[in-house]
Amino acid sequence: MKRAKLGTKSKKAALARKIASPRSRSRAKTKSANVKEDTAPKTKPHLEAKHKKVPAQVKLPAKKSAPGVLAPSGAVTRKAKVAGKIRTPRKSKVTAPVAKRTPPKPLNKLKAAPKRKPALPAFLLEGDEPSFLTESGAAEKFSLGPTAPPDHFDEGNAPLPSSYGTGKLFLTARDPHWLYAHWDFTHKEQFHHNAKSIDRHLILRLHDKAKPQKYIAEVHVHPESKHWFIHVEEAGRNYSTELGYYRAGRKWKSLATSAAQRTPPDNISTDSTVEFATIPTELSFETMLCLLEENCGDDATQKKPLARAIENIRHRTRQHFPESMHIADWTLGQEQLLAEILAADSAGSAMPSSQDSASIEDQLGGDSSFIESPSSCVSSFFGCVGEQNFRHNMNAELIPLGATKPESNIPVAGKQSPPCEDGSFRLPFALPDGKFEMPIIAVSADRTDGRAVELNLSRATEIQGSAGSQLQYPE
Amino acid sequence: MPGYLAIILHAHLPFVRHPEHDKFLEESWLFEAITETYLPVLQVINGWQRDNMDARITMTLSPTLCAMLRDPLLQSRYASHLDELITLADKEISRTHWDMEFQELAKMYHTRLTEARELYQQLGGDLIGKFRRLQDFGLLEIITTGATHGLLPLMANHPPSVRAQILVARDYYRDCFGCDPRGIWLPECAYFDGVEAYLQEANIRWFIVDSHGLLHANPRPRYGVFAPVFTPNGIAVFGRDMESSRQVWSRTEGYPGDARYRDFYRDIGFDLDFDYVKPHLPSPDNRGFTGIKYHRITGGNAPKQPYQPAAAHQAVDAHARHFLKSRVEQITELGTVLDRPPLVISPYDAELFGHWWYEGPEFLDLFVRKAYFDQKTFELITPEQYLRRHPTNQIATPAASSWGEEGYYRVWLNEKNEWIYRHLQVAQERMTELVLKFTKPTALQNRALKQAARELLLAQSSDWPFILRTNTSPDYAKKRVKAHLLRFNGIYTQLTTKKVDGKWLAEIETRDNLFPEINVSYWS
Repeated sequence: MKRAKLGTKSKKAALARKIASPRSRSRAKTKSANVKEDTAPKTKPHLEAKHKKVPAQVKLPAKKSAPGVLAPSGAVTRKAKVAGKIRTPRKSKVTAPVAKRTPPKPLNKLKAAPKRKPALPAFLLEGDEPSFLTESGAAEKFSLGPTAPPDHFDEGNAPLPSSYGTGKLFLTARDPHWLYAHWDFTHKEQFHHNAKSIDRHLILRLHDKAKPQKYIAEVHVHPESKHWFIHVEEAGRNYSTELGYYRAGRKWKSLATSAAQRTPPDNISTDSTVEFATIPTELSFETMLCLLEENCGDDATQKKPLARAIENIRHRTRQHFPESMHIADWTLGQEQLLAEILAADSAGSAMPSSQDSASIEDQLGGDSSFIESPSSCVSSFFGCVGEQNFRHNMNAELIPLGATKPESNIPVAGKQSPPCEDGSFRLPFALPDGKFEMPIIAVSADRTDGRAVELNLSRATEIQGSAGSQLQYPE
Repeated sequence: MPGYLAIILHAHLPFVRHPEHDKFLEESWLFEAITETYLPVLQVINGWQRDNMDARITMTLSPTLCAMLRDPLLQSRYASHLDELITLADKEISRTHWDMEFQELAKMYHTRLTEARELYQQLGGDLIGKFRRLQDFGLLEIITTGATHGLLPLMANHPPSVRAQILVARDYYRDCFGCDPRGIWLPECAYFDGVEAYLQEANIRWFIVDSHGLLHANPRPRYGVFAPVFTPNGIAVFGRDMESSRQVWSRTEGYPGDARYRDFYRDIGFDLDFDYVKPHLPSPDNRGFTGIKYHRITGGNAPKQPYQPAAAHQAVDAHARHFLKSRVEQITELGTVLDRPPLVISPYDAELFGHWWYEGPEFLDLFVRKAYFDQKTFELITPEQYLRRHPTNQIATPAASSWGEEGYYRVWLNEKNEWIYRHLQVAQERMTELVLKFTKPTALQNRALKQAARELLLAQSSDWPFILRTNTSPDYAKKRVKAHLLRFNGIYTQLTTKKVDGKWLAEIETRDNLFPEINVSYWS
């Protein structure tokens, strides 16, 4: 892998950049099965499919043999680390939740299981839940013993309504790269809409408010789903969603639209404007707003946020608003020194959260070097924001498509993944560099027959120059 | 002084009060925190007052915690709980008669618990009154948080709910402390652009965000996390310091993981004969924590060794000295760079001190005393004091963030707990609908509206999705959310379609009795 050489500022900053870089790489490999269809991977995965009838007993995927795919409830598989040189694979820790799942019993009429262990990268096995979370830190104030107590509360047993039928769609920005959408149709309404859809399910359209195209992605949701976690590549943007379906003739029918939500930024602002305000603590906001109304000379000032408006009227209201403190000039040298201090602060290890990263480190065998920290990005503080004018980012993912009998099951990651009503299925996977064997097995409803297709694939990426591996939507 | 350090302890527990049971397991969250954190912290600050130290720290006392600490039923139950513990400690002194090492520990617990009871009795059970007096004296700045610690960014789709969380908290703070709060701990330090409009309405002057919440602010903050910024509408935002947080928070890298400190999980409630400990357990039918723990962390996979208070004290002393040295070095270095006195903000969960980290209050005491008497590099300050001295600050809007895992809202919104928000969204909108509909309610309708507001607030608590995520008491958390939503839905149905059931209403008013003077107009 070749990279364009970047200028270095100091040892500390370089160290911090090193630490920060896995974070961006990790994000690059965080996958959404559905939202990336528009961004065709440029790297060609070499696919070699072996179609086999399995007369013998099929060992159903369990543990590492089965990648985690879309959860029935709609969560998109999320991968949180980078394999290879950058990060240590989490191996058993990652697979632990999968291993706990009991695979279906072997089929009686089938014979020996395939001996070979499929070599899937560990992160493909991750579900939406991180495997490292344990009670510690803040969680311990709720600890009642080494294990959770048995159910002992005799209220809240009645069911909540399955829906309220408001027909509304809501969107929440959960973090820089994930949105959460939920909608409220009654079962009957949803059934009705599904029936009218040529896909037999609803579709979420993702809109980026800053982009001219009608929508930037379509997410096909499960027929029974009432919520969906949607991955988005770009942080700090305004997204909205629209729920609907295609009628006959591929005519779009819109059912509900959400308000726009802004995802948090995941990096330092490029805006280095410095503007100061002096706000007296002894005056209430109410008093200040009254003074503003009395003293502002024009509507424009009155419409300004308080901190800025005060600066406009300070010369007329000296008895209320004291003079600003003198702020000395800020030099490039000071900026660089502070950046180094901040970078060093974040270089020790992960920033502990309210759930204490210590337990994370414990579970990962004490290697905390790759734990993501929201604060790790301070390494790029002050002027280290990347080139904005030109970019070349790409990634690749794999979405095996297939069809089987509608009533069959496709066991993956210890879960039964039923195909769509027409028997089709889509199994999206992150596809990092490496060689992989991916068995995809279908089991008949009466569990007397099984068919396996094994995909052998590899990916090798070579980057030249400052190309990135983080996907971004075309502007 | 070249710089400042602000220590902020966030004390919060969800409202857990079950008058329908004689003993209720989850009430022990409060009881353990009183014994191990709140009373010891009060003892520590009492000592500063006694020694005429002008050393200030900041504490959040959440409205739900205040409501529980003021509640006569819970006060009475806590007193009984403490009596039970002292009885158990007494029994332990006898049981360990032939084992001197453990007997010394039993005696230590007996002494400490007896002192705690004396202090509690001396205060008449009124911890809030004591905290208020310490604030009035100037040793403590008390701030508030969301009324029931609801995660505000996840309510952004219903602005009246954000407003109500803040204004109800402000009102209850007035009731408890006789003045307005100057600062707020946004629940889970979770900020989103827009919350400051309601903070301005409540005349709240500052809040804290996690480091990246400030470092990612727009425009970028000149001084990093070492000085606050003002939001455009004039509210100060302070950023958490990474280094000092890590030194205390992290169990392996931080001080609390030292092998000499007391182990949190090894408790005689699990170790001893069930019939023996049963009368003293928080729930009579199940093993649980008693608070009497005889082992130290020890480290590695070796069997746990007996706790040695003298060795733990040495560790506390060493760690307090190290923390002081680190802060002096940090602030000295920052002082050479910044053109103003640097400010280091060090916020922690209060319950970390004493409950999880048993020696935490002693560490706090030693550190503050050393900082006060032994150095002149920095001054202990509260954010409010800082703003009085430094009213000129950069204008910037912080970035949406929280102090939870990964820095955003995943802890409270994931596959384990997302179901909550679909129901909350509808309940929130219905609350506004009720308030707008009943502009001139009858006395009974008014009571129903207020109780609907209480049930909604209780369902919004960030603790339930947190517990569902961390799996510490998931059945209880799930049922609490459901119970409050079901009660809310019941009230909504009664108000909109039939008569209010006064008897049922009275029953749930008795159970969920917080915020007696709640103002429902905040939801309009």
